[in-house]
Amino acid sequence: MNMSKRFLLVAFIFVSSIIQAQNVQFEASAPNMVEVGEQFRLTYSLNSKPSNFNPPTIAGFEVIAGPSTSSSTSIEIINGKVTQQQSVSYTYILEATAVGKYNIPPAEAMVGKVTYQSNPVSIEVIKASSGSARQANQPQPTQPQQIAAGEENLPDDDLFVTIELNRKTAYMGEPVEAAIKIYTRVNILGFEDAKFPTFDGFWSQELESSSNVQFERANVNGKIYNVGIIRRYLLFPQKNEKLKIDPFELVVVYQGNAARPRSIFDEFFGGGFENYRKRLVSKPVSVVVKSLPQGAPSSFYGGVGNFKINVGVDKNKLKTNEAVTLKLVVTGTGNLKLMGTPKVEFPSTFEVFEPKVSDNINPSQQNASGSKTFEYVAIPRASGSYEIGPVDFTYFDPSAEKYVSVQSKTVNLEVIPDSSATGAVVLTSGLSKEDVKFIGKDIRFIKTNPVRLKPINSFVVGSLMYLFSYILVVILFAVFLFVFRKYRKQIQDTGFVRNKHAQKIAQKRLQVAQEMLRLDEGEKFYEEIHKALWGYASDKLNLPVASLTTESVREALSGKGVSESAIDEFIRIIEACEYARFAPSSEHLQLETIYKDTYSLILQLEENLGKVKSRLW
Amino acid sequence: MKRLLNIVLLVCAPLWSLLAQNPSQLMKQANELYTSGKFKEAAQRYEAIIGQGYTSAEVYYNLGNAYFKMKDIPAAILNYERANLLSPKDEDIQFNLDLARTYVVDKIEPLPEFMLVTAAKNFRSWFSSNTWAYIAFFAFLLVMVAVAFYIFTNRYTIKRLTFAGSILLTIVFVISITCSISLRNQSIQRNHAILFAPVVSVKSSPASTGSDIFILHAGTKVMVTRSLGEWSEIKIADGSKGWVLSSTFERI
Repeated sequence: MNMSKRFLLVAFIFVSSIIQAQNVQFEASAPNMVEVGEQFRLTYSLNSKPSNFNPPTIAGFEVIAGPSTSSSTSIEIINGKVTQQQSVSYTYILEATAVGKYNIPPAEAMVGKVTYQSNPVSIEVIKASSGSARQANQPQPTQPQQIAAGEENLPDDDLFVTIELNRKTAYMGEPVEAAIKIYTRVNILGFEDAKFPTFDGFWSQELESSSNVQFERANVNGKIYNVGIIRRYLLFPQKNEKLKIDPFELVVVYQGNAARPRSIFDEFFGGGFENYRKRLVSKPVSVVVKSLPQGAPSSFYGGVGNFKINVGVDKNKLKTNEAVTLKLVVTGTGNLKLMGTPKVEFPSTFEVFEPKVSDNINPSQQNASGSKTFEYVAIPRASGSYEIGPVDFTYFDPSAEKYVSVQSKTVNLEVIPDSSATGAVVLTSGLSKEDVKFIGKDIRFIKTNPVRLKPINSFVVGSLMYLFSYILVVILFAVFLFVFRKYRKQIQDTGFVRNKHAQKIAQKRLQVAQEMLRLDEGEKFYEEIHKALWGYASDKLNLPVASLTTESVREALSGKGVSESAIDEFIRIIEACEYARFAPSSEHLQLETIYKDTYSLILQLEENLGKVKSRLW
Repeated sequence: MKRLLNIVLLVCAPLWSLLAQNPSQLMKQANELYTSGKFKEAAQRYEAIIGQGYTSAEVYYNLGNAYFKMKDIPAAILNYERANLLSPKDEDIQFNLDLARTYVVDKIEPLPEFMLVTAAKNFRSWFSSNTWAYIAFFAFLLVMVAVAFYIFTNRYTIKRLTFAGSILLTIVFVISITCSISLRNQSIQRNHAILFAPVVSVKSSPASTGSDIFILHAGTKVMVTRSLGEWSEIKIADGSKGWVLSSTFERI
């Protein structure tokens, strides 16, 4: 075996022992009360197999038999998952020999490497009475037997129900615990038709209890009974008188001896028993309710019990008109639920709202303990430093039979002015919201401003005028559309535009030329004249400047019906300009004449070519 | 005989003077009478203004106030409602109407209205019918301008802007004209009414033999759904319907 395998094995054992260790339960069980001479079982049960069982020393009892060991193993396979359960029990049959209270120390058992101890058992042995109680919690007969119609002549003290109170007298509001119990010395099979009291005059609260009735042995007047608590209540008396509690009624089905003479066979085969029904009614009980003593202080709000109070705020610094929550918590035991709302004095500039009340009460066996919280929301309407409290709180302590006053600590509030507020809204004291509403409960005054009176039902919409204005708009739109269409068409005709603007451009050029003439800039003058003529021809004839030659211009102009002399004049000036531009500057002589000739030429051309206009319009 | 004529003239003269007076003078007079606490006389003058065929929210409001002071709650509510129709956003009218309604015996839980309907009604009451009509007209005008721009501009951004603008303005136009028409119809149709009879038992059928379904009291606002002879079918705010005599209510 190599090292790793060994390690694995050890690990496996270790893990398995841990798993076992977690599950081991070792319990001892025995009745809590027996009579002298009664034989009973003491059972130790263990849910895993021990390697060693060490029984305790049983003193005060005679061991009649045992320990008898019984073990059972169950294996469950669910979806391939194997669960093994083992249980071992050691049973002693003991007999009580003498009256007294005996303790049986815990037994020890070893599972794996761990030693477990059972719980110790204490058994009270009392004097023997005439008959002994049968085990109520024995396994019940597996076969359901016919319930006999008749009633066995069972003595009343073998089976009865009671309402037990923890006190007979109580102050108003002091809780009384009531337990409805059943006492039996017979084997109970079931309950039917329970009628619980209504607890008139009390405010009752049911205490939590298990749904099954758990039986326990108890000694009543020297007899052993199995006692079960059916229900428990916490009762808070509300009336200042002797309060009677209605009896509790219950029908019990139990197993009793057969009415007919028993045959030896019946007894032998476990027969001889029959089921019976019996109606049980508890004895009436009552509580004397004492009124609380006179002279309760004003800070008494009906609290009976034992309380403490605590006051706190959610913030100590705040702005005006900002809400602050003051929390008053009453903790303790007593009639918390029935307690009134403590009064907290706020400064007069605070607007206080109805407190929100919430409670957290945990009903326990003796009393109801918990806390009740009162949340006061207040809004300071003016800034300043305030002190709230101390809050006085008085409760009645039923055990000391007197009023006890407690005081909370004071709460300091720092209220700073709210810069966002419009003006100081100071609410004077005693003027709550409702008062404002009441004062303002009148209609508002009539309107006295001069009004424009209109004829009844004078509506613009649907009137003829209204409709007409729409039609007008549509007509205007249509006209506008038509006019603009036309204008647009002309704009799109570039030839027309050029034609129309040709004269203007030529005129501008001539103006520049005139300027040059004045400044005696000969070369530039010719350039402008040249450009003016060429540009004019290009625009008027809708021809690109690049394709213009003297021949093409002559052809185009004559095509337009321009006189031969004008064309000659045009070409003469062009040529003169071209010549002058490249000639020495001294030959710039006839500038004046050239300018005049060009001017008159353009005028003449304009006259001849101007006919184009009529074509378009 | 002459004396009798004198008496007749004396009695008729104030009435005649009421009829003959200028409505705005009457209004001024009525306001003065109201202020001095003569509510009945003030109410007469306000009624005279309306009788001459003139109206405004203020007249109805002041008349409602006069009736309120005379402890005639149904008449006050009727006039406040009329004023409210003409000027839905007026705070004073709303306040007095709410106050007057607290005097009405019937407490009817209104059927919850669909949120959008409430919002739409609220939106509609921003302006009066006429204001809506002017807004609609203006929007229409702008739509035309925007369309014109759209058609004649060559610039892409302007084209885009005017296209979006014209769509938006068309929506504004449709909404405004709808609001205007619906407000006008509301006033003209007069579907709502105020009960004037102190106690009205609402019947299951338009006949006095019809079994009583429920009972209403004076001042309750009802909706008149249809009329048959001297009977009208009404519907109250919680949706219940029934027939009452047309003489028991006054249309708003």
